[in-house]
Amino acid sequence: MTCDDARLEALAYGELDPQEAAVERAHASHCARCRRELQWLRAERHLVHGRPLRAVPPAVRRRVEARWPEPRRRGGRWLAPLAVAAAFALAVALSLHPRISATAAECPRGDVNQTSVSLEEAGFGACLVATPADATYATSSL
Amino acid sequence: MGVGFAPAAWALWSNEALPREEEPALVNRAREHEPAAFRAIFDRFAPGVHRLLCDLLRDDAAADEATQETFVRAFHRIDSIRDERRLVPWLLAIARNVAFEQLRARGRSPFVPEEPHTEWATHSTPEESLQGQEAQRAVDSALALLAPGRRAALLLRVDQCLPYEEIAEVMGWSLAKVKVEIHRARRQLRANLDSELGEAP
Repeated sequence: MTCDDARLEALAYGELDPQEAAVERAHASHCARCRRELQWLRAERHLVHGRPLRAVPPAVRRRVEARWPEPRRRGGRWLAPLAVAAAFALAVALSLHPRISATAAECPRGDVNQTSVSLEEAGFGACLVATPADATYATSSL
Repeated sequence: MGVGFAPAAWALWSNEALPREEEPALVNRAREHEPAAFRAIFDRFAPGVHRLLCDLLRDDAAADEATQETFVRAFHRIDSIRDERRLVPWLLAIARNVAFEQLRARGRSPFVPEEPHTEWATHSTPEESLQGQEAQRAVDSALALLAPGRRAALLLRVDQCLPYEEIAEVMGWSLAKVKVEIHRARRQLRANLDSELGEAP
């Protein structure tokens, strides 16, 4: 068996299955170079990994908590884009419909109280009262 | 050869043990921004991330700030995890980026070694070199002499117990480069320890 540092490292790190580990251990017991390498690997791991762990200060967790994203509503990942798409479709439909899209200024008048209707229409931004006989209405609705 | 992740290493540092196979479910819950999932990820992985950042930055306050920044970035970018089984390397890659950004902001290159530490003052026997607080201090000083990039690669292996493939992911290096860097880091660390503590084990 030849010397293999990768296998020695895997042995030192407990990453070999028991059979492989036994073979590697047997090799190291007869090979001074590998025995020494194995000692080093174990020593460095023991020293480096065994250093005391400094606890994460609770303030760090509090600050992270204060900045983590808002919870999503269930299905929210799909509902949000759908709602935007629906709103967009509605806006397009409204803008294409001549009767609804006519502004209050363009809106033809009948015999209703014009001031109150204008105020009402201005609030909606759309024509609320139209006279079918009016020429403007007749052409715009075609 | 079964070279895999050593969950025991992470379990040592966490408040609750979480088998690695449960990580994908946790990531999926975090994608829904579930506070309990964020909390579980933080409690599980912050100690390891914090430890790496302390080692890379060698400044406790900076490491605290970098830990905070790592998890804030991670939670805001949780949708960008392509493979939910790779939560650990993904988190550590963010931590590495945060640390290297801080080092550069301080005018330090992550890839240039520190100047030799002048306050080493131990003359232990070889037997003593493997135990005791003095040995821990010597290891700490020997690690500090490595360039942060090389130190990061070595610590990801020796301290964080990641397999080489995941270290390559974290560092953004090829597998071959990871092997070379860790090999060189080991030789350098041993030389540093040798000169400080006398004969190796």
